[in-house]
Amino acid sequence: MRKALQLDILGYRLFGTLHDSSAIAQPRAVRRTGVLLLSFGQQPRSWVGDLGSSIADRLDARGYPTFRFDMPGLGDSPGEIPVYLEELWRDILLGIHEAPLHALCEELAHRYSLKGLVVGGFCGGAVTALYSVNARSPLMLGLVMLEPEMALVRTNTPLVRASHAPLTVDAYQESSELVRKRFISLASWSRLLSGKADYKFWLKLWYGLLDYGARKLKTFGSLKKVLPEETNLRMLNSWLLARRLRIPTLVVSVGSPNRSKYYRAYGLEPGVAEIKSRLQWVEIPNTTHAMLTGGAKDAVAENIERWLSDTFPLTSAGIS
Amino acid sequence: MTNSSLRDDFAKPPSFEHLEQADYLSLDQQQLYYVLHPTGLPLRARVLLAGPFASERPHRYITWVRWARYLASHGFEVMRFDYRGVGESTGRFEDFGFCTWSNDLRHCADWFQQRSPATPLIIHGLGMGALLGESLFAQGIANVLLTWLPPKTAREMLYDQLKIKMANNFILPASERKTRDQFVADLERGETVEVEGHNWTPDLWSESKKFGLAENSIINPHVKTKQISLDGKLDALAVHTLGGVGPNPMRSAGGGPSMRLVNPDLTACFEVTCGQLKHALIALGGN
Repeated sequence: MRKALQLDILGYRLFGTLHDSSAIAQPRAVRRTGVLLLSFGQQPRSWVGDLGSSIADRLDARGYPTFRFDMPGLGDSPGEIPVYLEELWRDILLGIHEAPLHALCEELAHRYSLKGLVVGGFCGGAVTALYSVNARSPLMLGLVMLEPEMALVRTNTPLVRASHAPLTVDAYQESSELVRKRFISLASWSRLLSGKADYKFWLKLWYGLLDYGARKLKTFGSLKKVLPEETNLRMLNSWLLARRLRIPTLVVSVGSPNRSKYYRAYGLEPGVAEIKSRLQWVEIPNTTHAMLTGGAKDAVAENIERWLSDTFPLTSAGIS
Repeated sequence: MTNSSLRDDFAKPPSFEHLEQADYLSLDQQQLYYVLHPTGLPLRARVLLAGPFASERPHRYITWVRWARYLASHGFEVMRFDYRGVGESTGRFEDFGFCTWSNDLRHCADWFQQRSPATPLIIHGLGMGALLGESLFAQGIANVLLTWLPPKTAREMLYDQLKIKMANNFILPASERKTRDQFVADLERGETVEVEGHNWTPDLWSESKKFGLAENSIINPHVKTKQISLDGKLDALAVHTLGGVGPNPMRSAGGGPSMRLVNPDLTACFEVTCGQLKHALIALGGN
């Protein structure tokens, strides 16, 4: 059973959906734990492939009232957003949705008499979810992050000016994969030998490697971990805060060598649980970033269900 | 850069976003999600938006919603909805197909028209929605049909959407890489194929054979309602945004690295289409 919601929050009109078969809009004597899911980037609140609504249906069936909301300007919620996708992503990664999210959590907890909320999100939505720890609110009970994005996005605006930005982790991985492919490609060799090589590609690659080498040399001997230039430091600080506050956290990411390298570049250890800080990290193999193919749609929902029922178990009366 | 910076502020139409309402209709034990965009201006007509296929929905959503708001700010009351098994509507995608989605459109049209039967009803379909809209229009439902980027047939549309499956599988182990024709062969053998999180069933594939523009365009001769069918004219920017077709027309040669469009200013296309609708209403004898 779903219910369409429209809430006025901090001057925004936010559209959302409540999955609560057991008690739609029925006040309860005992406070329950709710779940709030945020979409990634520009997508509406059901997410690509309806992954978000499918997770919410399953959590609802388990007894957890689950909310999904569109942030301002996205999905059904009115509001202005930039013309370009990369600028929208950058705004989200820098925390443009942080304030509406705080206010939304408070409103939902109050309106539905919840003990608090486990806040979850996908990619950029995971970053927004992570920012919810900054308020240090007792209503924030846990975090679920799917494919969290650690890097700021390149745009043509001055904040992270692409033309002067060094090679990013993503770009480096793509380039090295491309080099490998070109190295074993007959067509690539024949282009090189006939003088028709893609010089722009090679120049860009050499520039990136030199830049990377120079930065490594600069910090040689230093004990401090060198973070990639495009690191979203604000997000990383919130990550560390969540670990320090021991907020129960589940991270779900793609289990591929490239993705693991990506997270390791930011000093994280994908797939490794941190018992002390209550972090669980699950890797789903053989899928893409959207977490749909290769059976990932079911696997993601199963992992969230399992983690939620282990961390916030329901009592015999169905109260978490 | 924001969209508003591109627009002529003193010519800005009124906004009725504060009047928008989302809710559910009940249909065969499922919940059909809809959003109503009322207008604060004298009502010209009602526009029922029939959205695209499931895998296109999230990528067209922002523009589709902005179009609904544009119409509301020009005197049209707009309703948009999600087909059963898709988006905010309930049900499993694999349990439904083109016939049920056509029934969903019919159900919404009936509900919407009941609000004031004398007001003209316009069905506007995008992609698959255009096929379903045409089918309904041929039965005499609605006064005006407007189509954007209609596929020739539902089967052609599904075949085209299989490219998403191929793109996703490209990074998976080589054993899982297949051509579109191999996926079609799987469906025809009775297997289910997952595409962008939705399970395509053999029934969906076989049903797609029945839905096509040529077959549906025969208008029922017993229908007495005066009807007008409009082929929406889209510029390159609108085709790129609404259909994912062609290069980004806003990319300037020699500019910085290309950025992707999420919310381009489509006012020019919206104005043309809105003008088409107004002319059609005048031809029907309305305002």
